[in-house]
Amino acid sequence: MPEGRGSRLGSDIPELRVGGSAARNPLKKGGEVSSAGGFATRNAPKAPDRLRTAADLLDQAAAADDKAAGQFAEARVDSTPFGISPQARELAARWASALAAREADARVLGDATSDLAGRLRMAAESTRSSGFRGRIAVAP
Amino acid sequence: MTSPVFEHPALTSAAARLAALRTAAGRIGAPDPVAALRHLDCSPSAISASASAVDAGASLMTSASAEFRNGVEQGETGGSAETFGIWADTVDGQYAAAARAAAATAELGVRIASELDALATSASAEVSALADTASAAVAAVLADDRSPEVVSTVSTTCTAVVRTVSAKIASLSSLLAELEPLTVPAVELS
Repeated sequence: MPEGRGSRLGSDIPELRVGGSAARNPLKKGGEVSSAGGFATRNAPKAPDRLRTAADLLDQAAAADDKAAGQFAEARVDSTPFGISPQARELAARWASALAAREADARVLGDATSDLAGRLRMAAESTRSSGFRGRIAVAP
Repeated sequence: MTSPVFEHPALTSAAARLAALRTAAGRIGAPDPVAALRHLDCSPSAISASASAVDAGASLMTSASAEFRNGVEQGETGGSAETFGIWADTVDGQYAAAARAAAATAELGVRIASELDALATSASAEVSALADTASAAVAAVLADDRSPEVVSTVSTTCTAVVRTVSAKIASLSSLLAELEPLTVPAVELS
């Protein structure tokens, strides 16, 4: 069980938790999982819905990231408002760099979040079609 | 003669009050005090608008962070894999870093606008006061008096205006230093 977020996994679907029976029996597929315990058969239909709901929430987060990136792009100004002294020009240049950095932050997070949403959907589909919770490979 | 117009209204007012000093400076070859003011001209309102846009972006990042957490918690209870939780923790931490950086950038943008406004306003008041103290000497020079006292007073006043502007500009170094750490991305995902 990992620390942090992973340690909060108080799922009411024990066999679908991280480290649950399904995860510990990765070679079993389809109906074999149901034989690992009655919970899998009874509760499996809930998991795809939750995974899809989770994916929807992550999509919303990614959409907010995109909007944020747009806001940071809209914040751009030329150097004129800062002044013409060398110090003012440097201030303008650093402000422009800071805005670009914030936009990059939002876009990177949007991409990562969108990727996680896609993987949750794939897992939901896998769970729905096979009754088995496939592991989600999310490492970059 | 039409008084020069600046982006900052206080500097436009100061330039009007420095008009006679400027003319006198031109007569005796002293530094142009109004030209010096150009180096301080700025538009704080444009920078404030930029900072407001950043603040709106920062709020969106905070919302995105909350939605991300909700989604991850749903994913975990829905049976996501251990690797999902590990990677989600990493991304979650980066959301916090991004939100902090965005809020800090917006806050500093507000302060930059405020500081530039304060510099322009205080410089305008100070150079106007300098011009006022030299008004008699300026009038004398404009009346073709070239006695050393009046010429020196006009010249010294023009130099003081330039120094006042330079000192204001130099004070921007602290804002430059504060802004520097925010010029690089806060998010590091590899």
